[in-house]
Amino acid sequence: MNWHTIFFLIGAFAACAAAVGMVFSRNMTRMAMLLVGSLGSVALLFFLAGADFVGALQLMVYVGGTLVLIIFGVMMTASGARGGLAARCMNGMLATLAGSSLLLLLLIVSGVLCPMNIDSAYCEAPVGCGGCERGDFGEGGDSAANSTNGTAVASTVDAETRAAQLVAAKRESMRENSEKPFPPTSGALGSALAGVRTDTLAGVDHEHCDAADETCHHTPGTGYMLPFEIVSVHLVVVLLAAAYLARAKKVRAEKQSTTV
Amino acid sequence: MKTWFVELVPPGWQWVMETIWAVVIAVIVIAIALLSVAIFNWLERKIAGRTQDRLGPHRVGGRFGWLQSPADGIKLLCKEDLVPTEADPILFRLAPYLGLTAAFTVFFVVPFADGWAAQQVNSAAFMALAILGMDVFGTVLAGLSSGSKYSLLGGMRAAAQMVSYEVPLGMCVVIPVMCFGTMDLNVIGEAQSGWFWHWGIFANPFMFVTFFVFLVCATAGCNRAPFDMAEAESELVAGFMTEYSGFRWAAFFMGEYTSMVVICGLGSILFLGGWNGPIPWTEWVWLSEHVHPALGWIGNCCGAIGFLAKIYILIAIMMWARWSLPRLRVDQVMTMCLKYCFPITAAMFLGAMLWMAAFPG
Repeated sequence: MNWHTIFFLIGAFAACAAAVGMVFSRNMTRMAMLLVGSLGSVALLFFLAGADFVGALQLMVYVGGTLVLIIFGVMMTASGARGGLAARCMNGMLATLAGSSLLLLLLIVSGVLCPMNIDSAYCEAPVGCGGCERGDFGEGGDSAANSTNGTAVASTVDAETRAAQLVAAKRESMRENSEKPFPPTSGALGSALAGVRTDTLAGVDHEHCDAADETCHHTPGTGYMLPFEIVSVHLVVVLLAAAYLARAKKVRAEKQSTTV
Repeated sequence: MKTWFVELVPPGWQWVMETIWAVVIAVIVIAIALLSVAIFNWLERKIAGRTQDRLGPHRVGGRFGWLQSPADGIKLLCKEDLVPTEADPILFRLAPYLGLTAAFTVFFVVPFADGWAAQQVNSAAFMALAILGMDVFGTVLAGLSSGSKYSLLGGMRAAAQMVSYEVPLGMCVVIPVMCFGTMDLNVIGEAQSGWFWHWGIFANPFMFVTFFVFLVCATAGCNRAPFDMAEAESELVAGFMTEYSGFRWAAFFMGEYTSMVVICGLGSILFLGGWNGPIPWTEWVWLSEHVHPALGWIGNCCGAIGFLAKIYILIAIMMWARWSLPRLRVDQVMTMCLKYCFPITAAMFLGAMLWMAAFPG
């Protein structure tokens, strides 16, 4: 129990409590503010995990951008600003469906649940192979995770012991990381967006990878250049569309004024 | 200093000393910020008076009326604390503190001298901008929860202005970040050490222009005159703060001044060398860490004082502009942002990039 744990517990509790409060609140303004609290607490959790850039991005994009937009929407819909919001039955069903499928996805990705038809190695080590996972953090965790990866050949025989080993290695690396100052992440993220994954360059030990294990052999050179470019093109399209809409409305207004 | 303080006690109890240390530092930073608010309150009136050929406050306190701010504070504390019946009671009470908290939280990443930051964050400049963007929620919430149409309209105007000016402000921060090649404010500050021609503002002609655009955007982002159409205390009904009185109003006021301090501190680190003075005199008198850690500590103290002095000068310039220029209309405020500030910063961004390609190093 140290200050890191205490702040983590505070942040996690605040995020969950605000989210639950948001769902059960019936006042639009309060809902928006509780959402601010929830997403802000998630940003705090990112800071605590040493991902300062991602945390700042969370604040900038979701809290400072999207939620301000939502609140502007609340302001513009004058009757809804202080009135209640009644959810219809259909909305509730759809929300339950979407929420439960997201929860299921989250549980699978975090490795709590492991469906039968998905390879259990993927479940236990969600980010590629064990070595890539914390490649930029520490040496001790890497070697432990890599050695467990080497035993991946006999995966069908002793999946349980291997899972236990992986969990132990993960815990060990996390404990070691908690004592270390976190390395800067913004540079690595920037080069990953430009096309080079520095973390995989440092972390993958190719000798220990099994030939059949696909997840272990993704080439370290490929970053997120293509998704980044696709998003950029998409944003340009959105900008053009917004400019077009604004322009069309203006022309129509001028026509009306001339006819009057 | 910190390690010395922590090692005063046996190893099992060092977390107590670390906690005490953190609390002491936090109290010092908040005290500096709040003291600055009191000083700026007085300075603003004095500058207003002198600009308009008056004396300004001179009755309370000594020769320069320096007790005016404490007197104002006591007056505000004694005022009746009103919550309108139409208002949402919880959100109405919460709103003033949101902006104040956001402004104070930025001090978490701003270094006052070499290594004197609460957290040395790798992406400090970005994080400061992200946290500073949070203070719009105080404004919006005040407008929404007051249950008054004047507050709602004022809040919408103020929020639109703050959100719009974040765009050119962010661009202005990107240019020095690009020139120094890092988002770490401590590294940016140290890169400008030495004589004043090492400062960011003199790094290239584009940075020089960017600094003035930054100052304009900072003034507008803090909702200050000549961009204070959203509030306009004297002519309109103070916008989103219409229903507030007493200490809650004072909290808005403190939030505004604190965000001014923070944003001027950011500008001073990015463009004016931060804690590195115009003349490298601390190096001449061996107040450097290379000679002795204690001497380095004293040198850092001098640097922090220089940093605060730069913030005060920048804020004095903002006050000078406030009492010299007429107020802009709402549409003129938006025109200023979208048609002037943003294209200028975009051009400066391209120019600085080409300059760095032409004259590397």
